[in-house]
Amino acid sequence: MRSFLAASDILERICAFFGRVGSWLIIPLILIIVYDVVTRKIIFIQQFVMNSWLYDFLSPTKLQEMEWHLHAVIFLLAYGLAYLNGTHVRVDIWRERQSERRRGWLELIALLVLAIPYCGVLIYQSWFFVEKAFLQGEGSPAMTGLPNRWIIKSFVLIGAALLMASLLSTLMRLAVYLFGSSALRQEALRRLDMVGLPPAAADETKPGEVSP
Amino acid sequence: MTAIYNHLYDYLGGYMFIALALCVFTGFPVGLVLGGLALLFALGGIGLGVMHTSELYLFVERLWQTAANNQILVAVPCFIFMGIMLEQSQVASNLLRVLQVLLRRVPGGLALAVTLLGTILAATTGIIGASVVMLTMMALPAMIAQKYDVRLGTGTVAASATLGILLPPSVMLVMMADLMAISVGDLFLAAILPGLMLAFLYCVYIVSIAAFRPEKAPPVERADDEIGTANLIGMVVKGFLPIVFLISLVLGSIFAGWATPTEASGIGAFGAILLAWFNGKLTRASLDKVCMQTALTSAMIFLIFAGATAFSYVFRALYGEDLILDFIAWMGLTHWSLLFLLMVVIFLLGFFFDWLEITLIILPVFAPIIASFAPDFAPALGIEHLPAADQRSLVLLWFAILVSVNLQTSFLTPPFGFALFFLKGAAPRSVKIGDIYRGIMPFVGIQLFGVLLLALFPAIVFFLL
Repeated sequence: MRSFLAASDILERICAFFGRVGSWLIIPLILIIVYDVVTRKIIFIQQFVMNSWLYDFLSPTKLQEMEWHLHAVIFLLAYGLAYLNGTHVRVDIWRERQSERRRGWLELIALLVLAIPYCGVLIYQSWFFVEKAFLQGEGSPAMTGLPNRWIIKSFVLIGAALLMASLLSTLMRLAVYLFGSSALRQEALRRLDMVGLPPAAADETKPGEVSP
Repeated sequence: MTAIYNHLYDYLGGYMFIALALCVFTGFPVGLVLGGLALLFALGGIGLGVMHTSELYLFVERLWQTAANNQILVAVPCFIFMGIMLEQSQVASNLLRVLQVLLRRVPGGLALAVTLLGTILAATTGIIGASVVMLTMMALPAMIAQKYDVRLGTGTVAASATLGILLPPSVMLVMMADLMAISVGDLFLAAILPGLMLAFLYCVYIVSIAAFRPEKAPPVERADDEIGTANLIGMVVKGFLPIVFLISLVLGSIFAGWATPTEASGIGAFGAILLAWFNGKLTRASLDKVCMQTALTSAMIFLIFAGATAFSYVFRALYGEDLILDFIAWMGLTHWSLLFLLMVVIFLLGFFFDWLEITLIILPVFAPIIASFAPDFAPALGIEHLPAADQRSLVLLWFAILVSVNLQTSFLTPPFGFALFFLKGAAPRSVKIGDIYRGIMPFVGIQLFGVLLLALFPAIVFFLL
């Protein structure tokens, strides 16, 4: 049982690592938009850039494709961490009045019936999705766009895998909490506050939250 | 057996909605509930021979097409970043101070300052959680200290802070425009007057309370608060200039047709970083926090996106949409009563869900129905002389605004209004949730009055177009 907790912590660290790396990509995303706007909309800079080697290297099409590529990577890499942090929206109105154990059971059943099968299908299908793009050598439909679309598409697979890691991590903690010895239970419960098991955590981890 | 088969064949889509309603209340993350149910019912559909296993591939394909490979939705993380960054940069607290000083002679001045600040912040961000927490922490203690009625104070804070969802630039409007295939810029323009109208109605309410029930909003009685004119002008310039700069940068560049909303969102986010830097609030730690919050919020939104796109696909494949269309045809509704019914449904759903789920699940089903009634609505909107395609998009625009105001209300309606929870979390301990619930009621009334006005006078929506 203790090894379950250790494994769940490793999975959480993986999710946290990728989520953090992804979150910093918002900065290049903003800078790319600013660069793109400045070099296209301000005439003299546009003239200057168009006549330089920069234009071939960083064409507007490439930049704009890079924008949504980064946007996709940011949210896909954070899927798992957001579940472990309890950021994903929950309708808590009934649940918050249930006992901790019952909430643990609910989470366990929902994980097994809804989340894990769905996430499994996402992983399985996104494997084909990436494979197809790779085998066909799919690139941007635009002539001057970014090539090798399988790279960006593989982030769907990675995102789904991270989500699965977070689901499995929670599943193991729930198993320890529900079926483990009483000492281990407390330890598991401490790690489960990120899925909102203690009542207080319910409404303090919502989007855009800033610690008061 | 055949009877059961036929029943399921006809009504499986209906059961899907019932299952959704039940499962969501287990408190499991909504995005995963949507995805999980989509899979379970797709398996049911495969069992009935209505669907095929290869269609499960579309869960990924549609996630890719709708959420990832989308230039418009790039604006979502950027606007989120901008909102959270501004919140960190403390531009708002300077501004509140200025407004409170300016309005100190007006009845209900403290509450009016909150409404005005909420309106101004709304034009920069659209992050409800951040706005509510910020306004609560900055303004509520001051109002309580001034012996304001707690209910009036909390109601004002919650209503003003949620204007951000309606006033452009707003993440919700970006997503609605994307879903309904109308122009983001047009929707932004159309939302301005309705948003300002609501802010004006809040002000009217506050001033009339202060005038007729002065014990609820006592005037400020401090003589030592006198400031020289020169100082005042200095404060105004320092408080307003950064915000005015950012608003005109973002909205101006969109409305002038100089930048797309996506480009403007990137520029706005960059502007927010600059403002934080000017205020000396840009540290590695704060930047790290803002990035993390942005990524998490973005993941939250787009996980629901992933679930909802799978859900609505399976719902359609199981003839769920036909079920709704048949039902509406069976009721024999006119276009106005249909609109009324939809508004009531969205309002009621707002008690339990927030804008994201409603927008992503309900809108794709109902927007085409409303659009099909476009010629019927055209005379009331004064657009009957336009070509059918324009009529359609204008009707959708008007409908989107009505839904937006309705959805803003969903943040405020007890028992499950997001804004109320945020408010409770950030308010002083003495504020009871019961006071918050009662305090918001008049503002919910104002919201409904606002929807009515917009439905009866569509010119408010179209005036700026």
